[in-house]
Amino acid sequence: MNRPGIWDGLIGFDILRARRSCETVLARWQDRLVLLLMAIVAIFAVASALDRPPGLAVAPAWAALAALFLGILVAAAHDRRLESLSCRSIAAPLALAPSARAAHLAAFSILALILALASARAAAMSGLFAWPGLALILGGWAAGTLIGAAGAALWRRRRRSSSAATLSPALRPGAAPASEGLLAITLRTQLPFREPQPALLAAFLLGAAQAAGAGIWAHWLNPFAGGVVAVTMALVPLFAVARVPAGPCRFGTFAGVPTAHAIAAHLAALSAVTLGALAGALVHFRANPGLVWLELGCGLVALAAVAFRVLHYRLDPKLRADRLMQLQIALLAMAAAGLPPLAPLLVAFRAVVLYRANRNAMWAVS
Amino acid sequence: MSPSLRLEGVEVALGGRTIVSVANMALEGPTWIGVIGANGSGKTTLLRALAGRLPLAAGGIAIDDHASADDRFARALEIGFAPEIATLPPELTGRDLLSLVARPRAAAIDDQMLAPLRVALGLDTFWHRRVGTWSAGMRQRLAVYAAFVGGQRIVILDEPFNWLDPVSSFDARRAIADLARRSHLVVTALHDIATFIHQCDSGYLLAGGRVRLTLDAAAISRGRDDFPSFERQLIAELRPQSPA
Repeated sequence: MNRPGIWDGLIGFDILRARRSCETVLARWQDRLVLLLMAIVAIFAVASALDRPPGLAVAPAWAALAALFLGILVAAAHDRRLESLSCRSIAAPLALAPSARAAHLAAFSILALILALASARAAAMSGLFAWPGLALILGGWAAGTLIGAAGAALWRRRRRSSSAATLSPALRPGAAPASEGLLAITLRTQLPFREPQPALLAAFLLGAAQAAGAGIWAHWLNPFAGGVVAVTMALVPLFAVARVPAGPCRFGTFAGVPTAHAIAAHLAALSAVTLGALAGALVHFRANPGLVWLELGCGLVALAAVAFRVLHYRLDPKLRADRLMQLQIALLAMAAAGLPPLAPLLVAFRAVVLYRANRNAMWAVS
Repeated sequence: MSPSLRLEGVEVALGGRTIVSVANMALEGPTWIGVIGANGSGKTTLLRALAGRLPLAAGGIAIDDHASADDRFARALEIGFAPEIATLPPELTGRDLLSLVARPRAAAIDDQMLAPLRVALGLDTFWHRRVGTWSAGMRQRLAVYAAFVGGQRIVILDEPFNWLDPVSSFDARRAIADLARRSHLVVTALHDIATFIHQCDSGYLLAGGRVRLTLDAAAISRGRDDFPSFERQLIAELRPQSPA
């Protein structure tokens, strides 16, 4: 029996896909435009980096956060992707090959390590939550989400009233269950992880250990910081509940687990991460209010997001909304890199993307 | 050596629940075996487990008399399987995908043997185009061809004629029947009773994840002789039983 070599296997499959994706990207003017925007952002980022001397070394809290980030990326992305590939993909034999799996895990680990260390260093030198531009972006994102949600709700109401005239009472769409409401759909589509893996949960526990000390420290240094953490923690259950199915879980780590237990586990995991991230950021803000590297950190992370989106997202020409998404992320990157006046544009794109996503979802089910 | 597949006490579970339970099944090629059943009867789950796409909860599978236990990689390597068309990478061309499928076994594509099937599926004019630009029917043709191109003599197809136009479907059925007569053990899940009875040499009816009816060559032959009566009998078996 012939067994595929490491580079003939899944890595080769990924390289081939990336190569073909690049060819596609360069072939379309919309994507060339996105790449141009990325290049502009990169110029700003490089200028920022050259203009300012390096700040503090990576703080222990941020190093721990980087480790947490690494665990999340490796455990969730590797395991979930391989399982998905081996169940359904044409590349299943490649994904099932032991040597290819090892190579895939190694490649994912190295990429995750580089990304985690870069993020941690950039974030540690910048401080978080203190740059007005970031508040503007987050506010814009939220405002766009609300506007898009409102537009989609209006559209759904209009469509429902027009369809009710032609459908028999038995076929009329009923009210969506609470767990399948707009908030749940929005959260599901926005969050990267659907079913935490065991290793991911272990990583969350590491984060919780860090969070316990850092959270208390943040509260001691600044009561306002404690308040922010408390408010954020109040929002976390929304995320957790929205992401767990209404009935007993059928797939993933929580398969067969009653919903209440799944919610509790999910809540604990998300709480640990939120606490770790917030407390670490607030502690560092107190210690280093210079905030000079924020633009660079956000810009690089956003650039990575754009690159990932452009190279790995389904490049189906029929999926036009994806281009809007790319442009939206590019705008986010530009805003983060020091061009906050672009935030209103971000609001508009956010609204359009969400509106279209909801409208398309309604078309798909109706 | 004739291709063969032997199942012993195979159970497949999803989410902790046993979906498929097959006590014993011996499939000996070359032949075309059909698996028919209602939606949710476990056809796809069984076929995906056979092809290594899902793990076994219990039991074992022997390929060509070599027991593979639950070595999913061995099964994926030794059994050709048509992927779902939604999972075909849209950025790759048809040629990319087929070289990818042939790669794990380092198999040279047997042009001569597969030429009739390739012609029947009309793939030649699409090789160089990206899959993302293909219609569902064209993707289905590619998926069917991909199951054979690795050089395996055991091939599993799940609803292979979905989305195919009448001409392609007719030609593809003939080409696959020819391969099944000469060299391959072909196992297909089907919903169309006419295709099942006129193309397959034998078959199984699945209900509730278990084999409810085994249709040997004689039963299939009788069905061909009196198709209306056979169809009524099969529909009666497939129809959900109302609670007493």
